[in-house]
Amino acid sequence: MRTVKVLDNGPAEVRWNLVVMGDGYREAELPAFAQHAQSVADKLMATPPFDQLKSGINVFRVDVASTDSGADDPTTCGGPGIVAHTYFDASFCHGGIERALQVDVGTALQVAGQSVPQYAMVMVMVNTQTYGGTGGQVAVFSLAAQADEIALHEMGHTAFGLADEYELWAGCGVDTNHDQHQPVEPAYPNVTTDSNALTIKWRDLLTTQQIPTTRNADCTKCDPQSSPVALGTVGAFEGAHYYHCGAYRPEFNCRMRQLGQPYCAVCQKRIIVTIAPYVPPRPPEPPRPQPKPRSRFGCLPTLLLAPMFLGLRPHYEN
Amino acid sequence: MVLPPTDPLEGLEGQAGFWYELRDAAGSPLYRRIVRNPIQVHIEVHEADTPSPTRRMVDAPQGVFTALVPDLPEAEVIALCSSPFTKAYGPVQPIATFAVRG
Repeated sequence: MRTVKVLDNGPAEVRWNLVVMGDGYREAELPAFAQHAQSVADKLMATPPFDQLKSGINVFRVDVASTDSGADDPTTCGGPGIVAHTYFDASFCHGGIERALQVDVGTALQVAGQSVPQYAMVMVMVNTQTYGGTGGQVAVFSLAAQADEIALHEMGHTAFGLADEYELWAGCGVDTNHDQHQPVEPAYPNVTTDSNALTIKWRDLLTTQQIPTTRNADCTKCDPQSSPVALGTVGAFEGAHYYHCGAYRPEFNCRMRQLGQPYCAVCQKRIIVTIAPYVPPRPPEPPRPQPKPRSRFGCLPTLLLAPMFLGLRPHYEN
Repeated sequence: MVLPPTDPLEGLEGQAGFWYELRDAAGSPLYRRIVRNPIQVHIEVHEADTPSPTRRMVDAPQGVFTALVPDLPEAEVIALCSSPFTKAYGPVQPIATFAVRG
């Protein structure tokens, strides 16, 4: 077993550490795992807001060799009956669900803790091209196209306490008892039962005064309407947290609602606030020579524009 | 080791979800993190042909997890606080406490 720092931004004691481990890679396949882990690190660092937090993040990979390639894929879930002897015992059909790819979470956390005791998030990539994954304390995903999106979504839950923003349970057109969210406020930062612009928990990020921004006209179904607002509009969109009505999400779409979408502004803020303590302060910039103003009003445009620029700076307070 | 900042220590009364917290001898929270329930009563299922995941109930819920808390001299217990372990959604209640020092 070998631990390699894929992205090195400082000592693990003071950084936010992501640990990526592989399962179902034989010894001879570990170079391929190294490439796959690098791809995960690259994708994470290209994903907002992680791209602006890079200096606070380390990514480690742990090379773990398995006896066999791949993962179990039992016939009980419609799979081909593959039995693979792997270190973390990766298997589809977790809970009797075909694409639910799971590993032995206890072993995974134990190995991660031995390799990088300061881990903040653990992922396991399983060496199979069959689509699948699950969340929980360890994000598990396969090598299938877009399966790494599962990892980013699950990381939202595990590392940042984000809730699901989708309004379905078993599926749109399938659910019969998910019409109305219970009148209990979820503690999670990105879903709410509150549609009051003055009290809604993400009121500091609202970009529209139309709250709720959308309503679901038929609470027995998923809301079929397309977005009536510009991309990036933060409001209160009805349909969230597994219910068609009575719960709201901050933007029309988000990675916590649909894989492949960017994190919404509220989720991004939560991620920034969580990782901010790990980001080293920027060294002070050297003083620049100040040009003399051409007239006594020469600096006025700069003064007028300064608050606008200051308003665009990321803010880390709760 | 650096920890994530605490979530609000007040104002979550009656809300639902899951969090763990560090408490002093009087039971007052010193540090709190809101997380997804690590003892999964239902799991998220990802299918290749549906953009949004779906949910399925788990027959025998179990979970292994870690809870990072600051090493504060006044800390006495770690408390796990959760909504009921059912599909129904209800306010958070303490479900277990653990002494932080042997």
